[in-house]
This record gives sequence, C-alpha cells and structure tokens, in this order.
Amino acid sequence: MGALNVTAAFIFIAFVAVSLYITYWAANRTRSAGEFYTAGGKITGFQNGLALAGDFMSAATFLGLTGLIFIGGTDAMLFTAGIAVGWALILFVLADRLRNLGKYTFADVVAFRLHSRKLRVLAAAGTLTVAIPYLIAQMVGAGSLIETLFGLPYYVAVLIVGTLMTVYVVFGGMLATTWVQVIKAVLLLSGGSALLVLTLAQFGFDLGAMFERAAEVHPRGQAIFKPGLMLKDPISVISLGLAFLLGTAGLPHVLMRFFTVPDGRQARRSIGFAVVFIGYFQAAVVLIGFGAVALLSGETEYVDSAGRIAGGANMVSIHLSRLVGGEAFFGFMSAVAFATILAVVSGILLSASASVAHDVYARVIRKGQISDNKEVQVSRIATVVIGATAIALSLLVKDINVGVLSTFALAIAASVNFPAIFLSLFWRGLTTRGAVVGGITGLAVVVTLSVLSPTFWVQVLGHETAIYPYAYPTLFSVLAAFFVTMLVSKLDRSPRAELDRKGYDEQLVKSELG
Amino acid sequence: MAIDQNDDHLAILNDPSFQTLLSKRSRLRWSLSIFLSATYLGYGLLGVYFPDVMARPFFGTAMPWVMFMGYLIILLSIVLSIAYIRLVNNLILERDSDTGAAD
Repeated sequence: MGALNVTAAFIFIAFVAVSLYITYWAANRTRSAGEFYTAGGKITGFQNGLALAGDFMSAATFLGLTGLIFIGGTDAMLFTAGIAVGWALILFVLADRLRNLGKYTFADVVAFRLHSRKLRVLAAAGTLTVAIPYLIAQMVGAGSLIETLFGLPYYVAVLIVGTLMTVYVVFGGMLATTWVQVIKAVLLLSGGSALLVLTLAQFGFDLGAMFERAAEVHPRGQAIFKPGLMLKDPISVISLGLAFLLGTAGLPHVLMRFFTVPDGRQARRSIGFAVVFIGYFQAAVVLIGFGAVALLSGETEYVDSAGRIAGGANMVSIHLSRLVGGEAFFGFMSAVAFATILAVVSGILLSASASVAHDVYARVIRKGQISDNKEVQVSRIATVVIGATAIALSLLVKDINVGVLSTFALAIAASVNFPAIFLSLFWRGLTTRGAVVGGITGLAVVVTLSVLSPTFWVQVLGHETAIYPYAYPTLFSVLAAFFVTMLVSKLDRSPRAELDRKGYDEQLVKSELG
Repeated sequence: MAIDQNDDHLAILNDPSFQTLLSKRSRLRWSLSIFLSATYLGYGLLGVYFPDVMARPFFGTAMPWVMFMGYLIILLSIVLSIAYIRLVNNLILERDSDTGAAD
C-alpha cells in the first residue's frame, strides 16, 4: 500500500474528467436560481432515485458499515435495517407533500404558513449544523483514504476533494451535482455487487460455509452473531433506531432532492427507486462485511494479531477487494470509494449554500427583494466561502473520529429539522413561537448530551465516567423537541399564532394537490 | 399552481372527493408508518432481551436469526414502499375521475 495503483489512478482521473465535462455542460444550463438550486425541477423520478440513493450511500455506509460488522458483528444489522425503514418512512410521510409545498429548500415548506423570516433563520441553523459536521466527516474520511491509497499527503487530498466539490457546485449547480451523484451511484452499486460475487465465489457460493468460517477465525468466535456487542441496553437501541428513522428525513441535502422533480407523483417514484437501491445495497454490504470477517481475519497483511485492521476499520472493504479481486479490482474499488465521497460532499455543499443564499440572504436579509441573477451570484459566493471553510476545518481536525461526527449530525437532523417539518405538515396547532423554541431546545439537548456522552466526555475529554451513559442522544432530544414545540404552541395566544393555525387549511390543500 | 385565492382552497377542502382522498391517504400513511417503525424497534429490542435466541441459526441454514429478520425488514420496507406508491397513485386517479378535473 502507498505505492501508486495504476488502475485506481486511471479510473479516478477518468471519473474527474467526466464529471468536469458534465459540469461544463451543466454550466450552460444553469442560469436562473431555479436551475441552480433544483435543476429547474426537470430531473426524472428514476434519475432522482439513483441520486437519492447516491446521497445516502456515502463513505460512512459503504466503508464504515463493513468496518462496523468487523468489530460489532450482527449489531450492524440494526443500522442496515434502520436505513431501509427510514427511507420507507420518508416516502409515507414526507415525499410528495414536500414537493408540493416547497420550492428550493425545506425551509420553504416550514415557512409556508409560519412567520417566514424567523423559521428560515432556524432552518438555516439546522441546515448548517448538520451540513458542516457531515461535510467535515466526509472530507476527513476522504483525506485519510487517499493518503492510504495513493500515498498523497493528507492536506493535498483534502484540497483536491474540496476544490473539485466547489467547482461542481459553483459552475454546475444542482444539474451537475445530480449527474455526478447518478454516475457514482451506478459505479458503487455495480462495484459493490462485483465485490459481493467475488467474495461469495471464495466459498463456492455457500453462505453457510462463509458464516462458519467467519465464526472460526474471528477472535470473538460465535459471539459475532450475537446481538449486543455494541448496543447492550434498550435505550441505546431505541436512540440509534430513532436517529435512522427520523434523522434521514431531516438531512437537508436529501430533502432538497425532492424539489428537483416535476411533481408529487415523480417525488413518490424517486423514493420508490431509492428504497430499492438502498435496501439492496445495505443487504449486500452485510454479506460483504461477514465475508471480510471470514477472509481477512488471520491475514497478517491486513489484520494484526490484536485484531487491528491496517489503515483503520474503514479500510475493510478496500482490503477485501484486493484479496478477492487482485490489484486491478482493488484499484477500481478505491477509485469508486473516492468518487463516492466526492459526489456526497457536493450535494451537502449545495444544500448548505442554498440555505445561506436563499433562506438567509434572499428571504431574511433582502426580504425577497432580490433579482434572480443576483440570488444565483450570492449562492455561488456562498458555495466558495462554505467550501473554503470546510477545507480549512478539515485540515485542522485531521484526527477527529469521523463516525462520532456523522452521528452527531444525524442526531441534529432528527431533533431540529425533523420535528419542525413533521409538525408543520401534520399538526394544525403548530405556531411560529412553538417551532422556534422547540428547535432551539432540540439543538441544545443534542449538543449537551453529546458532550456528556461516553464518546466525548470520556474518550475526548478523558474523564473517568460519562455523565450521560448512553451512546446516542436522539431518544431524549427528539422527545424534548416535540414536547417543547407542542407545549409552547398550545400556550401561544399571540396574533401571529392565530395566523399560523389559520394557514393550515390552505397548506393542506396545496400539500395534497400541488 | 395558481396564486391561492382564499375561496379556492376552501371549496376544494370541503369537496367530498377531496375529503375521501385525505382520509384514505392518512389511514394508509399512518398504518404503514406505525407498523413498520414498531416492527423495526421491536426487532432491535429482541436483540437486547433475547440475544442468545437471536444468535441461533435460522432453520437449517448458517444464517443467524438476527440477520434473517434484519433482511426481512429490509424486504418489507421495499415491498411496502412499492405498494404505497401504487395505492396512492390509484387513489389520486380515482379522485381525478370523480371530479373530472385534470390537474
């Protein structure tokens, strides 16, 4: 490792060349704000389904999950099943209503009947506190991956990823971001399938033989099949489950994708495709993970005698690719992993800059008094500023735990964005004051509990025992956000509250019919 | 998509065909959501309270119960999603033919 892999370099350069060509092509079709933020609403359900799947099949799900199986055995099944269920819930509850009510960002939906400027500030806070940790988590992951794979220094790798994502978004807007995401999704789905087939072939396609071997060679033996290696108590399990069920529905870059299709029908269709692709991929990743346990354990080149994986737990699928497919396939999968990160960060960056430019600048600071041209210009400036900030932060926090950071982002999405969206759509009683106070509560609870949790209080700050004993804050933060939002709304007797409740009928008709 | 006149949406809201659509859709939405979430969270809790049972191989295969059930939940999410899309599309078609209105 460390030496340049010719296949990897070739495929990666080809991917960059194609994506830059797409950006160039998209740039000529990206002039208005609608084209910049949502590709003019002309993406088809199938394309959007692939892009949605691509948005979610990040480095965390592909690289992280196989690593998680290696360490935590079947507890990882709770993650994979939760992801599939979470996406189905987005379809049942949100997809077409979001499409029918919103224009560019999810704040458009929440602000439909509530006080627009206050809600947009809250939504922008919710977007940025999710987007920036997510962006950094992906970029730090990318930097370390490239460092290991191509032997490039970390800072060079971060600069390459950061610059490319900024170029895609600034020039190509949503159209380029979507196509980059579609190509990456196809690469990842086919690469993952090939890895699965090659892995199963090692056992003559006998699953039983694979599981037996996994239990034989893993230091924990049969215990890798037993739930509870990582998640022992009901509160941790439910907290984690809720993060997946509700958090995905609060991710701004996922929500923004609903505005890229023409109507509610296509919005439903796109999620249908997304659920199929994501479900299939998650199912495959679990088998790949156990294949990795069976094949890599005991190979001293990849796993040392203490069970530590060379290059870190995120490298499990990459090591496996080399073992079952040789140098060329290893190069291919490395390039695909890199392309995956690149596509995901572009989508997140676009949602963050849309929030700053559309919600904060155009709607709050300029109160809607802004020309289309000017708004696009501001979005491009916002993209460059956020992109540069993300690069700078990623260079500063090289050693941060990527998994902790993305779980934190998912918890904020579930506790700040989701309650506001959900209650605005389904509860007539929601008022502006309730949404704002509830959102701030959700944010405060996530931050407080995360700081007091074992991962931060003990592992980062070095205290003896954690004040908040569970790994995930979501159960309490989501409940607190819902409770406070509803209580404050109920008690709200202001004239604004009157308007907020009155607007529900009109919103209901529009959410159903578009 | 017209800029909403006040009477417009009230007229639609009080239209019986719209009310039927609303109530059928909401029954479908909440029953599927609650069923699927409860199944998933119940599955997670089975792992907490009966780890040994969940680790046992599923009849005649080497796959443990916990994995087999996890796969079933993924499959269930896909099947229910496809069913939901079909049902909703049909409900909307039904209403459109009731009102004779093309959107």
